[in-house]
Amino acid sequence: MANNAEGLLEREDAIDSGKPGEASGPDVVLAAAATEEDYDWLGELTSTGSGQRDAIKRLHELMLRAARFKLSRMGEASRLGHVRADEIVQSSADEAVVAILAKLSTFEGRSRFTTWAYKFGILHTATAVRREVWSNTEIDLSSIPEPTSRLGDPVAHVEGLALSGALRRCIAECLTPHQQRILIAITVEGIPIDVIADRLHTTRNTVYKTLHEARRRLREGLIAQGYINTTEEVN
Amino acid sequence: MNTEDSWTNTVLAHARRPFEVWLSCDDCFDRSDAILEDVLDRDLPLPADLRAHLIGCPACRDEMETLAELIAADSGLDPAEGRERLDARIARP
Repeated sequence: MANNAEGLLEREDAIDSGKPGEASGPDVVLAAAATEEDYDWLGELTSTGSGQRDAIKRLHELMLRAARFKLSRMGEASRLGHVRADEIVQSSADEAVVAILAKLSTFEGRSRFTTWAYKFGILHTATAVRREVWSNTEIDLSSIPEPTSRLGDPVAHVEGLALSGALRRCIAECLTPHQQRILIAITVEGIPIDVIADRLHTTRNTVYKTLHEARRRLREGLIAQGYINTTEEVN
Repeated sequence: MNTEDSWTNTVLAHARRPFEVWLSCDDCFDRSDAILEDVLDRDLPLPADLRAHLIGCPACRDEMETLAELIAADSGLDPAEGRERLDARIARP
């Protein structure tokens, strides 16, 4: 995929030259733990000519490795088929290289350059796979689904019934409809947070903020009613 | 206290998690590489805010676990070992 990597050089604003004092350019000073290899990566990526082209090509190969590695660890990726999976690997690697070049000035040498770069490849691949896998699934984020099972059977304990009822009351009374929907979509239905963000035309941060606030309110409600204690922690 | 109701248990488990310390997905991403190397190379604990975020955000946790596996693989280790060391730090402060 050398052509893809070389094509990035044609973008006028592809390389982040940084601002004075930031982490790019020949006089850059990285964190004390930074290695010669980290300086080499940065120096070559911000250089010109063949040195830069070679560095971008190596960076693209690194992103292909990250993308293939991530894809191999996503069980849902098996539903994509080999051709589509390979397309996602290539496009994710391309996007990761673009993102890295645009953010070079934020690399401070607090980790190895390769570790810093890998996370871009993993993020772009994971997001692309989730988006693709869920692309044909209708997600109704405007209504609140009923629980799939209820404690109405004869074997259910009275204590459990009380807890279940309290939980549902808390959800209904403490959370807004939007918070209820986000909480259930992520925690019960297992819809990925970035897929929800896509469908709502918002960001992952915004959806996570909603989820965070919903859990906080729910936790406070259950604590107030004595169903969980303040020191309780479950991973 | 528990119930047989999987819906209740699933939501309740989330309410019990230590999510109070706020950290955004973007901040988690920005810090993940350096903190992960601290965990894997220097056996340091996770900062409380990042640990809480990884417990509460399945996508960020999934991506950081993959990064741990990839770093381990690059170091000649079993990728599972990298993931297990991260998970152990998420499980206990």
